[in-house]
Amino acid sequence: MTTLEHQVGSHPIPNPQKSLITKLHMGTGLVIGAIFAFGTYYWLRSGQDMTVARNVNKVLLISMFMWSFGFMLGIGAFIGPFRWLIGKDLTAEEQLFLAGEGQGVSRYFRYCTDHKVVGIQYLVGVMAMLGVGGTLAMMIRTNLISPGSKFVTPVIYNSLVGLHGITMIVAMIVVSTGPFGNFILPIMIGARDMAFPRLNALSWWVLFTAIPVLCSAWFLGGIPTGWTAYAPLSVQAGPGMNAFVATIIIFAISTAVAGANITATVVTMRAKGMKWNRVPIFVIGATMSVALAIPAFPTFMVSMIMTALDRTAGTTYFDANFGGSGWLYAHLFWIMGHPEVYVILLPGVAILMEVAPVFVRKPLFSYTAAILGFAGIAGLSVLVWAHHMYMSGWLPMLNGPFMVTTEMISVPTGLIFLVILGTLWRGKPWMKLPMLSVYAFLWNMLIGGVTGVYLSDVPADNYLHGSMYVTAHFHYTLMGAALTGAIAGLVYWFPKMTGRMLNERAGYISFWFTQIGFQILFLGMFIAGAEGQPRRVADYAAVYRNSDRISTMGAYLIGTGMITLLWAVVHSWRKGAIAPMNPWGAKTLEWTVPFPVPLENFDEAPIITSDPYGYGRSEK
Amino acid sequence: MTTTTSTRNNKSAIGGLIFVLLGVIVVSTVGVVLHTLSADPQKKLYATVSGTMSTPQGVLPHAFIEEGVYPDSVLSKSHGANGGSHPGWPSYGPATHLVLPAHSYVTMTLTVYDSGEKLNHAYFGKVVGTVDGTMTIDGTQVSALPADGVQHTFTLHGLPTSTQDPLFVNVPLPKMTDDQMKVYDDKGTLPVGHKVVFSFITGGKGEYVWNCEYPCGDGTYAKFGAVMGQLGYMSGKVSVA
Repeated sequence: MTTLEHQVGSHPIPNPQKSLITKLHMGTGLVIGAIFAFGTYYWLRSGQDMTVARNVNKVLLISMFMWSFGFMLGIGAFIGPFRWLIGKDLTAEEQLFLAGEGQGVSRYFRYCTDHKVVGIQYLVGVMAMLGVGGTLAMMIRTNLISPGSKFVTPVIYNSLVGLHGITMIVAMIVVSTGPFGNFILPIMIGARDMAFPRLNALSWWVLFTAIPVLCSAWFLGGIPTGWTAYAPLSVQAGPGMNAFVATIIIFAISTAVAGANITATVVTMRAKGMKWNRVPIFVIGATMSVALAIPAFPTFMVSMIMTALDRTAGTTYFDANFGGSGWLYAHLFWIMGHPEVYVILLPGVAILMEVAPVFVRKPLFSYTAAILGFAGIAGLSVLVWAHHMYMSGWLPMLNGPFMVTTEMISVPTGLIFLVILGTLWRGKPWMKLPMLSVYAFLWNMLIGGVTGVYLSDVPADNYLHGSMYVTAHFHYTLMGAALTGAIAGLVYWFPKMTGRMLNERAGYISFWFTQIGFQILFLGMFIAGAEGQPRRVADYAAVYRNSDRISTMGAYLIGTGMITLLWAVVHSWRKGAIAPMNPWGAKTLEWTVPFPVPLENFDEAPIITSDPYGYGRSEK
Repeated sequence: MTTTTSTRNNKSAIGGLIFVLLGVIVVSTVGVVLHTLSADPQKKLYATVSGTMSTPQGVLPHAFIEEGVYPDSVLSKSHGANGGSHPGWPSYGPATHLVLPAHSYVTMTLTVYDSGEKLNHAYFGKVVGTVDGTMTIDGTQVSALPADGVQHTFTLHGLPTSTQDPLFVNVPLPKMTDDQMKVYDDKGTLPVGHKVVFSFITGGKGEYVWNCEYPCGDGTYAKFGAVMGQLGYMSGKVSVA
């Protein structure tokens, strides 16, 4: 067995004092990134006519990428690859230093390769992104509290919608696979680490560099296009659009790296005896999610590179006047966009399928059906993208086939439902917080799913597309189902990740505020949408006043619930009750390791002899 | 022991409430900042009332307002001495937030100085919503312009709400030919522009927007970029007060 500790022996590892690696951290990354960004900006602009939009776009985009590169250089991400270029590698001591052993809190601010540190970094980062996106949502709903409220100008409103959308989408894509896929998943499969620990750190810190880039949009005039950034609107938009383009390109690199890493880890590093039919369902869901993201996100990145070229180099990929096509953008976007919905949904649902057997003390009902459901969703999700383009005028003869593939996706989704219902059937649920989320999911996903069937139907979509009905539908699936699953995961694995129990009372208050507010907000929005209120518009006709006012009240309830959850997390992390090793009595491997989880997780490599859901039956 | 636990629980509950309140304050502060940033950046131009006018709705106060339409914002002088951050953009001036009296007969005079190409939609070449559906150009009464004879439009409209009277006015503005652009006024700073005069009647109080429907933005995509997406140049507000 070759592990880091075996390589360097059992002695405490001294800091490799002479190594540059020990000098680099987030602070040096920020400084060098800022120097690269501003240095590039002022150097490039001195030779450009900055009254020409294309030159401004060019200078800003290059500066943003240089920020990201400079930060990664400053935090030490390229030391290992540079050593490879000169035929060397990091020493064992340096590798152990990178793993963060014995560094306390400071390891969370370094280029740390320990998957548990990366998991915590993702958790905090995702919570921050959700906080920002949620705050923007409160602003949007405040502006819509009554017709003509003029809380913000239409220009700022458009930016609010665009930034809320893209911030939430980025956060939701990593909300489950980021924290739990990194912290919990390797332990669940009995691995000592991820397959590529340095890529693991790279994926987080690259994503981190995208956050300031996205925030810079505020200071550059905002994003006026909504999160879909449709061309040609995105091509002619102001300087803030560069922040969107750069963010997506950087984010796509991060997700590709993370996806490849998680997939490789699950395929190659499962414990002895963990055959595919013994892999915990969360691992299956998370792996399918990231594997689906690997082919999906590059098309988004390509669309953004083309947008960047149209904005900076005078190409006309999306300009119909010169042989380009706006449909080309729509295709590239939605070929990513619809699988992306399931990239978000699958791990959230998988968490709930992981939670349900634990809290009803029954085996997961039809593990095979669950796998088929996931596989069916993943497979069909790449064949449905053009249902977003029914009304665009692109090849109407294909509307029918895309309607069929879209409606077919209800079948594997139904399987997932049946698996959860079958698991609950005649069980005696232990009504803890994670279990409440399972029931909330069933309700929300039912509404999200059924309303989605109407939108998949071409004649109905003719009436409903572009309305608040669509907004309500996808919030029911993404927030009502996927985020609810992620919150269940947070509560469920909080004891393993922090060593403490989450404050239950605050958790219940948060749950009910959030779920009740959610129903009020989005059921109200369904009504407004069915009556014809368009989405993404700052003002509306007086006829929608009541629906919108009700929706805004619901939004404030959600806001209160989410702040309460944030308090529960912060308070419990600091002062919560000390958690036992396995507070839920679960059977998966992560509950067999103590807190804090040792650097390489297991003293002895585990050997798996049964499936992880053998509640109430003898082991096979 | 029980008292200690109870005290700790109470402290936690109070801490939680304070945390939630702080959270609400943070979110509200963001809202206040955004609201402040949303303050109307446009200068206001008030109509002056002088006399009355007999109309089918009765005798109404007669209000007058004058604007110019310039090929760049250096000439319009409505965005600073050197044209502000976008000196090359066409602009209305001296202001783009017009304040008109309610229930009045408003006569608007626009002096226009820009050249033109072609309207995307011929509808905006028609005069709509003015008294008699006409306007005068340098004293000649017309009711429409050809699509390729327009430099900009003044198109005033509002959302159909139950709380304010509808108001829709569309006036196409004649373009300056290349030869006309070479004939300067007495000061030598501006060409001698066309003088466009039209009148319309306002209803009750309300907030409306106006914009130019002629695509006068930068070169990207049918010229709907840049200035066409920015308040305060070729679009603005009308407050009927």
